[in-house]
Amino acid sequence: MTSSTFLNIQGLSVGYGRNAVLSGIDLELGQGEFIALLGSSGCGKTTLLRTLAGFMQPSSGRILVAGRDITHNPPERRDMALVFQSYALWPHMSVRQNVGYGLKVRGIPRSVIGARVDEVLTMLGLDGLGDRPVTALSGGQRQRVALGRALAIAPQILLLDEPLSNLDARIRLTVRHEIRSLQQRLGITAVHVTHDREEAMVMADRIVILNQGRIEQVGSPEELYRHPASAFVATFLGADNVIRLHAETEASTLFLKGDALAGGAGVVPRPEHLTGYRGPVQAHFRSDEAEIVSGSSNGAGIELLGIVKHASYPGGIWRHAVAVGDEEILVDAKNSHAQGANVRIRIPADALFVFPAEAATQSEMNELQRGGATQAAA
Amino acid sequence: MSSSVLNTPALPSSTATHLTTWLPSRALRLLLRGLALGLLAFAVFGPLLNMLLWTVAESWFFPNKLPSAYGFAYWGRVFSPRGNAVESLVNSVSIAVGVVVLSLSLAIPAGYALARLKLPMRSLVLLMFLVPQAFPNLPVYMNIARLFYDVGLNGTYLGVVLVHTVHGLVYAIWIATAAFAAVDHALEEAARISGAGPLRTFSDITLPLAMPGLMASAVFVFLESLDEFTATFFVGAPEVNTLPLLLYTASAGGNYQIASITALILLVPSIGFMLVVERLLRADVLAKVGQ
Repeated sequence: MTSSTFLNIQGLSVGYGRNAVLSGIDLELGQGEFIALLGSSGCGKTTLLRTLAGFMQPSSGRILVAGRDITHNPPERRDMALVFQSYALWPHMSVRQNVGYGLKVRGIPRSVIGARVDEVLTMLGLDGLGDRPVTALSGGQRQRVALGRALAIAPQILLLDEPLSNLDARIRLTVRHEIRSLQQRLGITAVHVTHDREEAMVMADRIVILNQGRIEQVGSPEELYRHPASAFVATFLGADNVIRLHAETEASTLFLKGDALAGGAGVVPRPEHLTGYRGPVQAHFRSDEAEIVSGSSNGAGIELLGIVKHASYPGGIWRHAVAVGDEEILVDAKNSHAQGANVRIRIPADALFVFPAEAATQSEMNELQRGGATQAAA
Repeated sequence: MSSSVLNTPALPSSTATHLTTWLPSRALRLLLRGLALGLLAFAVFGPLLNMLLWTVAESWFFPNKLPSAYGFAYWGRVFSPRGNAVESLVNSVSIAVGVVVLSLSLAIPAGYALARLKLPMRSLVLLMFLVPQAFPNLPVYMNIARLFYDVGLNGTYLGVVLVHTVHGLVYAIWIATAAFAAVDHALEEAARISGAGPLRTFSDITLPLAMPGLMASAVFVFLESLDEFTATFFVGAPEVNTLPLLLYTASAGGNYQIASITALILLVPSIGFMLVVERLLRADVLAKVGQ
């Protein structure tokens, strides 16, 4: 991504006993880059962070910082800072002592520590709280102290372990931007672990999506959102409406067939990863990118026929549960459509993400193959 | 539907009868509770009161219900240069301090290691420390005395300190383990990533946070040593004289005044320290004892 690689993770595998938690992670971060590790719980994102911090030893692979191998350095010799999910502030120390501890253990003179701590407290809006015990602070203030403690030592790399998950929803939104702007201002390379998709999208330069200990996809938020590389990424980033179809490719065109489609067929441009593919596919799309249309319309895309099961109003738009064949999908629309109404749903080609079918049941697979076979015979 | 209609008129009368039976039963319960508490208080404080009376009784002969003369003459005798109470007190306290130092210097590393062990292993090791307590005291101490006699530890302060430590170590390790286990591991990790090495982390973070629990275990060990009798009797007597031994000799000789005054001297630090322990041992530490 960036011209110079600052943090380089090469073939990293980590396990507890014989259970591999991470296998073969390769990742490069540029200096000053903000990376979010995104995934559901148990995907290995926290393990990756803890391995970077030195709390866990990899079974294989290397971690390089500015070309220096730190794989086997203890945590105190990595020049990294970590903001813990629980904040892990020391209850027997004041705010000032918590923030200044990293400087104290580095043997920095007390006067310098005092000035630096004041600077950090001011930067985080904690003026006047320095002499309070950390146990007397609110959740938001504790979070700032934890961040202050991490930033006080001016680390090369800042690790964030779901630091916002214990905050109220409203505070969380402001703290997101604060952390991001601080990180940009100080030019620190940051690795942020989260399971919150929006948080990752808003804060990070690049997002790493982890699934079962492997990297599914790395890219900018928009790249991942617009061009998910796998069904997992598509689902994880909100494209969780799934329609099973049969696909055939010809040059740069993808022919889709299925009973759910209006006219039994649809044509969209072929994505890169389906070159020469022929067989069952699953088509993903987001409920807010599909629209309920009257009559056919032009422009690249596919159209589905369905029956409205029920409609609800979560605010701003109407959300319709629509039965399409055996499957049920959610479609947002400005106006409500009555229960039982036959509707035509249009999905623009650039909002449709098609992947080879993976989790289809055997009967569905058979049906799709039969459809394909008939097609081939004809 | 119909049953609720039937029930409705019956309701007020049932509450009325409930009220009338409720009042005397409540008074009775209060009375019983008061009686039980009174009995408990008597069981706990009655002997203590008797002991207090004995400490200030100049003469108290059968069949008098109360002493016939009061005074502090025996206090003078206990603390006179000829009486050996002061020597015993100094002995008892210095032995107890020695035991605390030795127990804690063993219990701190052991407790820390045990606290970071996985749970089943930890329980097993802790149980092992409890095993000596399962045997009757007398045979154990008799054998220790026999062994100490062979190596020349019998009748020495070191011997008494060692045998008290064996006894006090169980409490020390159990409480120290609980105190260290109550320290969130993330707090130590936070110190490590902040730049502190393992030793610095232990002295700056782990030890201060576990300190209240460790102090509590020190108090327990101190008190255990202070009124330990059996082991001191076998290993220490007659060269090493402690307050419990003095108490034993005095009361065996029918000198109840001296015995009571000695007992009072033993009681004061016990009660004082118990109050300290009660403040030091937080619920989260207590919850981890033996886990």
